[in-house]
Amino acid sequence: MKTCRHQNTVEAFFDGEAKDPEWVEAHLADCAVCREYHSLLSAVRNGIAASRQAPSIAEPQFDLFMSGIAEGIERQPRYSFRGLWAYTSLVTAAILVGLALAFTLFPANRPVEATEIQAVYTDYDGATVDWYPSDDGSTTIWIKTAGDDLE
Amino acid sequence: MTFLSITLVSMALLHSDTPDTKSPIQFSYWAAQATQENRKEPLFDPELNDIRKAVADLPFDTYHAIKTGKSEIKLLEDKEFPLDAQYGLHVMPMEKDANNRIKVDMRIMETSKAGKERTALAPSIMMQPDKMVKMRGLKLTGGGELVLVVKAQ
Repeated sequence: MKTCRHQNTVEAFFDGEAKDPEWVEAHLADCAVCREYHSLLSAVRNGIAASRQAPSIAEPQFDLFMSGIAEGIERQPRYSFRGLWAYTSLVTAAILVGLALAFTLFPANRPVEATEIQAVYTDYDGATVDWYPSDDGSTTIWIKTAGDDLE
Repeated sequence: MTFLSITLVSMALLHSDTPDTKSPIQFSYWAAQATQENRKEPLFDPELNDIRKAVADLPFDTYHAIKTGKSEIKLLEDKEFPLDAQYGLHVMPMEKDANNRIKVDMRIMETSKAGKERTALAPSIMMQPDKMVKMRGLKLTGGGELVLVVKAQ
């Protein structure tokens, strides 16, 4: 793409800020590159301005527009499978949320496992060891020694 | 919404069915010198108030604290609790089962005045959380019995 070192000056001219507008006009007449650049700037500005314009409904279309709205309001709702699926999903979701809360708030009752003495060892000669549960839920381990004192 | 519910259900199921098998256990112990002194009312040192009910069925009416304590112990960590000059307690939590019971290997070691050591009592217990286990029958050189009450959770 060809460029001209006066393009910045052309930009300033385009924005109405050129120090010497007459010189820029003369340059535009001579320089094809700057002329094309000025045209591009104009096209961009026009495009932006066009996009700012709100669409309007022409007067002849207005009645048609309003009748469309009225038709939409008065139309009877059609039976829709989409609605059925939405309803089913909602019910399913409610059940699952209920189950989730139930599992969280009331965890499954586990079997009550009591304390269990799995093995007992002693170095005492002749000693016996018994164990038994007590009424308060504790467990007693009772070693009965036979006077086997450690020296 | 449905996805959220399924996630909640999954989390709840995991939460309710997966036992905590990794975290350390809280271990409490109360070692007492128990004697029968024909008192009208049983006598407990204040440190032993927590075990009054647990030892109510034992044939003693006087309990003096030897050592009490509470400690956090990791699984497979062997922790020692010296009780007095005669006895010491070793505790090693082995595992937790699906019902949150804790398997604990314990050793009560006896040391003689001459420095000899032997295993006085070494039970391997699957303990129900918050339920006490009491050990009795070991003689104390100062008279009476050693009553050792333990709890793991």
